Formats: sequence, C-alpha cells, structure tokens
Amino acid sequence: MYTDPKRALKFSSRSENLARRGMALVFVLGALFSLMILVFSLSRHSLTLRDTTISILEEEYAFETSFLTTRVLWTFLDEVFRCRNGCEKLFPKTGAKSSSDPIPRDLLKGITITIKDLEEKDKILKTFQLICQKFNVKNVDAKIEFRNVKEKADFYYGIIEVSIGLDFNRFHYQFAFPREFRLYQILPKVVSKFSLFVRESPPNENDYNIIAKNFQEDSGAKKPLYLFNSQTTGGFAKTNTDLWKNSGWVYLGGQKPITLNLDGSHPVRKESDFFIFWPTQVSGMDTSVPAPSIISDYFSTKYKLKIRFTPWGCTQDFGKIWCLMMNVGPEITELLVNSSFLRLFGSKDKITPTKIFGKVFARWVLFANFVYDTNGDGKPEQIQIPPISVNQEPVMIPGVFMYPRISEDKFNPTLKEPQILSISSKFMLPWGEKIWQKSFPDIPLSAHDLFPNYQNYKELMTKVSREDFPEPYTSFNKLYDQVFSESYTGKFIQIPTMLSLFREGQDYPDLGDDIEDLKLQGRNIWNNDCDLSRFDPAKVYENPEYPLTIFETGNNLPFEKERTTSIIKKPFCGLFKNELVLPSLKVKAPAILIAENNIRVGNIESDPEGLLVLVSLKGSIILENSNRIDSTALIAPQGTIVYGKGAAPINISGTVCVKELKPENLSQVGGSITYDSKFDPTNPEKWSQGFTFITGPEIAGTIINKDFLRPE
Amino acid sequence: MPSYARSGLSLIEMVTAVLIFCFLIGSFWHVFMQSRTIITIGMHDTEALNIAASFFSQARHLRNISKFPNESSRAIKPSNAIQLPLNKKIDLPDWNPQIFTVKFEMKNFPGTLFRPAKLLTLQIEWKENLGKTHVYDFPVLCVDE
Repeated sequence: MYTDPKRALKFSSRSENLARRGMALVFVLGALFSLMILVFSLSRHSLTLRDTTISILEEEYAFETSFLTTRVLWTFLDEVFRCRNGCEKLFPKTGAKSSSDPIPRDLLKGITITIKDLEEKDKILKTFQLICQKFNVKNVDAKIEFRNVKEKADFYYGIIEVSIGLDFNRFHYQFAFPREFRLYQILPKVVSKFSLFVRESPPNENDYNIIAKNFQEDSGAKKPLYLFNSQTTGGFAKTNTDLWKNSGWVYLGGQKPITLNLDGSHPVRKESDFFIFWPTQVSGMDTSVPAPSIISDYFSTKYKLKIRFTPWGCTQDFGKIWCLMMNVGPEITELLVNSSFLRLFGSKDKITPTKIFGKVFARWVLFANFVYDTNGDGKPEQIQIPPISVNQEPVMIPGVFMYPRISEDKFNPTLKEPQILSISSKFMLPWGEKIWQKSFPDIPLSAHDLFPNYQNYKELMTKVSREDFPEPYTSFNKLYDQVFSESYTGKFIQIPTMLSLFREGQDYPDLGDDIEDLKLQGRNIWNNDCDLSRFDPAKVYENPEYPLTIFETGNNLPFEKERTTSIIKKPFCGLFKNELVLPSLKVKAPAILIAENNIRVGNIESDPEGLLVLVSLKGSIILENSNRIDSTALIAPQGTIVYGKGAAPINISGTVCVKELKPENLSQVGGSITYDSKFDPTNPEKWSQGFTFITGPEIAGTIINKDFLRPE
Repeated sequence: MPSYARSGLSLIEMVTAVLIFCFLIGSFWHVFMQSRTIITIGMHDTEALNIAASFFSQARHLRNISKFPNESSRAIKPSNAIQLPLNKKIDLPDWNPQIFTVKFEMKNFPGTLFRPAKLLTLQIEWKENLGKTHVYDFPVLCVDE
C-alpha cells in the first residue's frame, strides 16, 4: 500500500495541533476550575465571616437582654432575701417545715427555684413580657439554682446561678449568671431567746437597789430600766399560761446572788411593782377583786383577831414614817427603803412575766395586820370611831390594826400601843384610848395577851423576804418563778399564786446550767450550748473562718446616707476594726455589724424587715443622743451598755447581752428593753426568717446553650 | 503550500472563548463583590458591636441614677460621649456617620421592680450594602442599690 509522504506529514501536523489545542483547553479549563474553587472558597469564607459577625452580634444582644432580665429578677430575689419572705421554698411560713434549719438542709441538696415558686411571679412574668415586647425577644424564662453549697460551723456558702432562656431571631439561647452567696443564721446563738442576758453578777447583792422613792411618788431621781419580755400591747391575760414560752427570758448570771427590791410605791403609781402581787387590779381589769393577802386562823381564843399578811414593796417611807418603821422594822430586820432599778416583769401597764435564770431573788415585805373578824369570814368588821367633839358624827372604818415589830428584849413587859389603821379613811389612831372602849371593848393590853412567847410573835409578824421568810413562806422567795393569777384560794387571793414558770426537776432559782430540755416546739436551738454560765456569745464572731467583710475604720460606714442617717438596704455582715460609730441608722435589711472595740450608737430605726445585730467583741455599747433602738441585738460580751453624752430614756426593742450592768449609769435616765419576737429562735417562722443570704457581685455570665430554632 | 489559517483560532472559537472569559470574569467579579459586601457588612456588625460593648461596659457600672431625668431618644455624634447628669458620661468609640446612626435613650424601667431603676438604651442603626437596615436597641438596666 502506497502512502504519500506529504499527506502523511500533513496528517501528523494536524494531529499535533489538535493535541496542543486539547492540552491548552484542558489547561484553561483546569485553571478556570481552580480559580472557581478559590473564588467559591472566598465566597464561602465571606459567608462564614458574615455568619460569625452576625452571630456574635445577635449573641451579644441576646446576652445583654438576658443580663437585663437577670437584673430584673435579682431585684425580686434581693427583696426575698431582704424580707426573708416571698418564696416558700426558701422561707417557709408557719408550720410548713417545723424541723430545724429547713433552708440549709434543702440548699445542701441543691434546690431549683422557678418563677412559679416566687410569690411575685405575676409581676415578674409581666415584666418579662414587657422585655419581650421592647427588645424583640421571645419566650423569656428563668430559674434559680443553688450549686456547690458547703457547710461550715456557723454559716453556709455556695453559688446561686440564675439561668435565663430566650429566643432571638434564629436561635434559642440559655445564659447562666452565677453569684457567690453566704448564708448566715443572723439570730445570735442562745442570747436571742433572752430579753436580757447578763453574764456576771454585780459585786454586791444589793447593787441594783438604788432607787429611792416615797410611797406617793411616781418617779424618783433615779429611773428604772424596764424589761418588757413580750410585745403584748393589751393587759395581762392570766389565761395566757404560755406567755413565757413565747417571751424573751432573762438571765442574770454570775456566782453571787442578786436581789431585786420591789418598788413599794402606791399601786396606782407609774413605777410601782405592786402589779406583781395584784396584776388584775392595777391593770384595771377587775377592781372588785380584793387585794392579795393571806389570812391566819384565830391565833388567840380570847380575841376575835386574825392576822392578815399583805405584800408590799420597798419605799423610803419605811424609813421615814414612824408607824411604818415600827411595823416593818427596824428593830430586828433591815428596812427596805430602796427599790431595784431593774424591773424584770415589765410595768403595771405592760405586765410581761417570763422565765428567769440565775440566782435572782425579789425582796419585799409581807406586811402583817390584825383583822378584827367576829364572824370568821376573814374580812375586817366595821367598827365605829367615836366622835372627838360633840358636833362630829361617828365614823365607821374597817377593823384593821397594825402592830409593831420589836426585838426580843422589848417584847417584855408590854408592847407599845398598837395602831388602828383605816386605809379608806387614811388615818391611824392609837388603840389604847379610853374613848374607844365603847365601840371596841376587847382590847389586848400587852403582847402577852396575844402571843404566848416571842417566837410565836416573830412567826406571825411582818416579814421581809430572803431574810426571814420561814416555812411555809420560803416559796415567797421564788416570786420570779410565778405567773400571776387572780384566782381565789378559798375566799382570798393567795400569794404566791399557783401558775409557775418552773420546769420539771428544777427548783427556783434555776441557774440555767442545763437547759437542753427546753426544746420549745420540739426544736433544739441550743446546739450543745446548754450551760448559760459557760456560753460565750462572741465565740461565733471570733471564729477566723466566719466570713466577714473587714473595714479598717468604723467612722465611715459603707452605707448610703440620707442627710446624717446611714441606711442599710441590703443584708450585710461586716467587721469594723477599732471603734464603730453609728450616729443614726435606718435598718431595712438584716445585718451584723461587729466592732473590735466600743460601739457608739445613736437612734436605730428599723423597717419591719430590718434586723440588726451589733456586737462589740472587747468593748461596750455606748448610747449617745439616742432614745430609740428598734429590732436590734446589742451584744457586748466583755463590756456593758451605758449612756454616753446626750443621755435620754431609751427604748430598746430587741435583745441585750452584756458582761455586767452599770446601775448608776443606766438609772440616770432609765429606759426599757422590749424583747422583739423577731429574735425568737423557738418560733419556727422567726428562725426560718433569721437565715440571711448575702450575695456577691455578678460573676461574668456565660452562654450555656444555643439551639437552632426550627422555622415554625 | 501550507494553510496558516488552519493553524490559528477560528472566529467562532474566539467569540466563544471571549464569551466564556467574560462570563467567568463576571461570575468571579460578582463573587468577589459579594464577598467584599459581606465582609463590609461583617465589619459594620463588628463596629456596631464595638460601640455597643463600650456602652455596656460603662453603663453597667453606673449606680444610683434613678433620679436622673428621663431622656427621650437623642442622636449621638461621633467623638462625642454620652453626657449624663452629675458630670457622668459614657465614652463611645468613633464611627462613620455615613454608615451608623447612634441614638441614646434613658427612661424609667417600664415594668414593676422593687427598687428604682433606669433603663438605658443605645440604638445603633446602619444600612447594609445590600439595602437592609439593621436596628439594634442595646439595653442596660441600672438598678439603685
């Protein structure tokens, strides 16, 4: 076969061209493809960048809206923590959880609180709706969780985490905003159950008895310090036998006994202690009830005379008025002329008996009178006083006779003339006048006509408590162990009355060295601090682990001020080195202010939610220019509470704990301590409300979830 | 005699090649412009976020401003801080006024709270290259202590 070489060459050239063109095409297409990949990659990266920037922007927007929502929620939570109210899971109301420490127990388990658990849920949800409308988000929801809760000796700590969920644009976001918290039981241990807790007794038994006052005086130069152990506003109710259980108690500790002389001014006088014997009369509830007294049997077969014992407090008149001096002493016993500046059971207008711990005794007079009683009903017969002049009408008076109290050497041969006493006519006349013989012929002429011997006389005559209350009257020395009643025993009111504050196995005085059994309402609030004489109230606050915010000076308080008044608006717990000065304070939240040295206090005003614990670790609490302290525990375990400059009668509502009392200082102007039931640890509700959350600042929030929302 | 015409590109091939080239360049240009636009949008997003972040960080620390008078929405100029009563201010970074409109508003919080509070809102508005307008109201709630 013949092949033309030229044709063959041409064919070969065409093939090469085609191959070259094909290669070029492949190269061009490859280059274009690569370029296309690069450009698409660039496009893809641009889109990713766009997604990222918009995602960050949206996420930040959602975060800020969540943060705003958290702040809204915290205003409600802060209010719950401030008021210790408004969330049943945290602060159960009465009876909801009666066992001790319900909050810490639940917190340790890790509880979750939703909006529905808050009392203000409607307001919160409405506010959330507003946020949704204004900021173009949807389905805002929140929950509060307690995490990593740990327990220390006297407090708890952990994290409160608020989680906010919301929908914005394409995503559902979930953010978490944690805060640290500390949880304190703000009610001071043990002492919060006491109106007054004094750790040591005065040097002398009678150091508190410094008020000198006449029978008709409302008030003397020195003023009493009243303890109102409950906040009862009405009169004393004898049926309220549990009053003392719900009241603040009193502890007057120390090794030495303390004697408090009762005020013996007239029962209607402001400061009179007579209500202790006769509460219903002086509180105006029943004036028909006769005065409390004890009537003896006829002690002489010849005379129709009985002896009536009537309780009486101390007054200067015992040292001034001859007949009183004669009838109370001073031949064989001390005249009780001064009364105590400390009044344990309140005043006649506000009678608040309570449980007394310590070697505390009341001292008073059991005044003896002869009663002329012919019919044996125990009441004095009316006898006629003959007219002194011709024109004078005869007067009928009750036959009550005073009789002098004399020493044995004067008992023989004859007594001085006895006196006839008429309380209603307010006069006293000598018995032995012949003029009387017409109306009252049975006149004993000497002591021997009435008493066979001196011992017999002594047992029947006027007595002074503590020194010479013999059997069966020793129980009268337990006067502070009684709740008074006007109940009759036979025909007369008996003293002491029947209702008592003793606890089984403990006779009066109750030293309070083992109070473990006092589990009121089934709750043991003492935590092994059952011996009041050994209890140190400062121990909790001196524990180095106890979390306190420390301030170098107590002159500039870290609280907002309105004019000169500092305001505690949020729960607070702080230690101030050196002295703490509180010229004027308004308390709207629970707070513990601890000073290493003295605390100078002006007025302290408190909202219903306010509760303040002031602790001076080594110093005293000095009241300066103050006349009102609300809902405050004043604790100075190594010092005292005294008036400073600008002393005015102060009304302290709360509880007071000191090492010792200074009667001379406090009686300058007097005042009162009213137990505030907000401090009552035996009340489950108050105990629950004593738990105080102190929260830290917001720790940086984080996103914890982001889910793509499927289109609806 | 050799045919040179056969060794070059035909007119049709040239036209086709030019068309393909134009199409590809056009596509590339479009993609490039799209990327540029998207990046610009992203830059604006970032700038807006930067302005907002500056606002948050300062406004969050304002305390006790509930007594400040309410302020209806007012425009803020670049380089000008947001002036508040009592010599308080919120500094903002600069921005391009051709792109961003920044407004500030301070009002009482409309909902119920237990404490007085002011709601501070920074509104940032900008128009995308693609024509879409973005408006974000960044809120900060200042609650009195």
